[in-house]
Amino acid sequence: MTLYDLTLVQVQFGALRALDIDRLSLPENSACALLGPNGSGKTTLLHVLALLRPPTRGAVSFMGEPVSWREKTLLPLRRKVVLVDQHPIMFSTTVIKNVSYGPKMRGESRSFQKRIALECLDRVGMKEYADRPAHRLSGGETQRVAIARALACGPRVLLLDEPTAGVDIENQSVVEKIIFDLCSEKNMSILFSTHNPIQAERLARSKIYLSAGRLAAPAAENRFPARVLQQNGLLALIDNREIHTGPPPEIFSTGSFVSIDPEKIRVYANARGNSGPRNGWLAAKVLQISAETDRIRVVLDAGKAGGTLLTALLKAGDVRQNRIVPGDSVQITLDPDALRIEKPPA
Amino acid sequence: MDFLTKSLAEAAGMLASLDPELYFIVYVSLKVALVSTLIASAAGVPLGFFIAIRKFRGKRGVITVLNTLLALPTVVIGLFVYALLSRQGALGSLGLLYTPAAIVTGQVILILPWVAAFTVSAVSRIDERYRRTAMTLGAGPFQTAFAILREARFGIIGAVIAAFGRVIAEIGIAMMLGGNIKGFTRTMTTAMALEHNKGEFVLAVALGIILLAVSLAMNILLQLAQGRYGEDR
Repeated sequence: MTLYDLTLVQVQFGALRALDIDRLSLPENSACALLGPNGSGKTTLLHVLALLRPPTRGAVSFMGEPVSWREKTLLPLRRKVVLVDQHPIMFSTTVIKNVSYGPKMRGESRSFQKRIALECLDRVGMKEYADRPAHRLSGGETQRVAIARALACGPRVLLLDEPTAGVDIENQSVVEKIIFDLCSEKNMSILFSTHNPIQAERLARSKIYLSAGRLAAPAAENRFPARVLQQNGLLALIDNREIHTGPPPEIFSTGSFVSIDPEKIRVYANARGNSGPRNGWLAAKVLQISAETDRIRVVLDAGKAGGTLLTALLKAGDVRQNRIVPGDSVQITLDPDALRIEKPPA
Repeated sequence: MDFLTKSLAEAAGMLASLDPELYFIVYVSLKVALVSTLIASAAGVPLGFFIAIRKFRGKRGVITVLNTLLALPTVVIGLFVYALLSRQGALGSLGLLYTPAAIVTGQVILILPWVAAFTVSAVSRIDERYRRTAMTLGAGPFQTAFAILREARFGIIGAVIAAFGRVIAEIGIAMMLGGNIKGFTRTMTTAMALEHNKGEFVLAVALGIILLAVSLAMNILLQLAQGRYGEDR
């Protein structure tokens, strides 16, 4: 059974279309990461999935049941999903009363509330904080208690909005460990948004990319404002650096966006004595190399003055063959079909 | 100065001797003010909450009207309710004029906008995430409303106590609608005005001391109500 089915879902804030999804299905027991830049609609999508915000248009089906968005029928469904906000807020009472709020709303006995709250606090390593005032916790502690508070509801789906954003390094690794453990839970699906592709790769079994409210290919990782020039089919990135695209693109406009498919970027080590720029090639510097399931993620700085970050997904053999190491200056080329140009809004 | 010291000493003696007339006046004042505050709170808190959380056409206008009513003079309310309750008035047949009920009616009109306006302000300041958090943790509409009210409790309790302070200290409504009848509708403020007019200051000073004591007690109550979670908010 699919967990969620979204069909032609749109969320509109005044003139802004925050979400525009033609079709999205999420299977049960999934551990899924939601990626995309700021303002791409990640939080809006999570609010729809948490059944907290009805879409302006479209149909949402949850656990095989169409969502009617009427409060009477919504409450039992909503009790199966819990959303942990990016910056969770604590009720102005003790930590344990915060964590036992969910079971209390479900009419559980006091002894059960206490037992489950302590169990969940223990799970996130916050049991000894049970009787402390919740609103005096640090950001990382608040995030951990918020996860415990969500777990105490015994949800079928746990949604986390950028769970490690604004959390110090120490708590980040604790929160990541908690999510990692939760991802292997049998009876719970987990969906979290993040800006960190490495975190997504490490924790999730599948990924969803959002760009400007729409589902996007992984190329959305490399999305730049671009100026498209007609001559020779050249594209100019944010710092006016030109990239060969092969045949001229169909859309020529200013103020457009271009996405570069990370799997269609070729990276070559600078040959000795041949490090100068070549026609159609772009000089870059390797910033980071990390392993993914079946590929190697290479983060490159391809900007003329630095700061234009490109992500390339290479085969391990290619990395080995080219002996690419962090700090190297390299040359990159793009496959002819590497670019996707977004039509600017009318 | 001698005069004030002498009045204070005599007032203290009067308080200590548990003068029945003095304490009956205090009883009437407290009873009327408490009943008014209870009624105004029972209506004003839900009204303010509703205005704060609902989006509706004309919301700004309603809030502006409420804020304007904060400046409603007591004598204007006194006149208006007098016109209603006097024999020729629409509610004259009820025979409420110059009774504690008449004072309560006027005082409720006085402080209802206070309670509602300050509740609007207190609830509007509550972070939107409280509503979302309550809902996602499985709260129904009433449980969510209660969670928001709970977070706004310090502001709301403050509004109720300010309203009580307003009615216990007002004189226009108590005088015009209560008539300052000894042993029936005489309140602390009307008695103080009368004693002042008579040139008898001892009772007036004693009542003044009690009024201040009531105000102090109310503030202590507010501090207690805020408790340890109100300290750093």
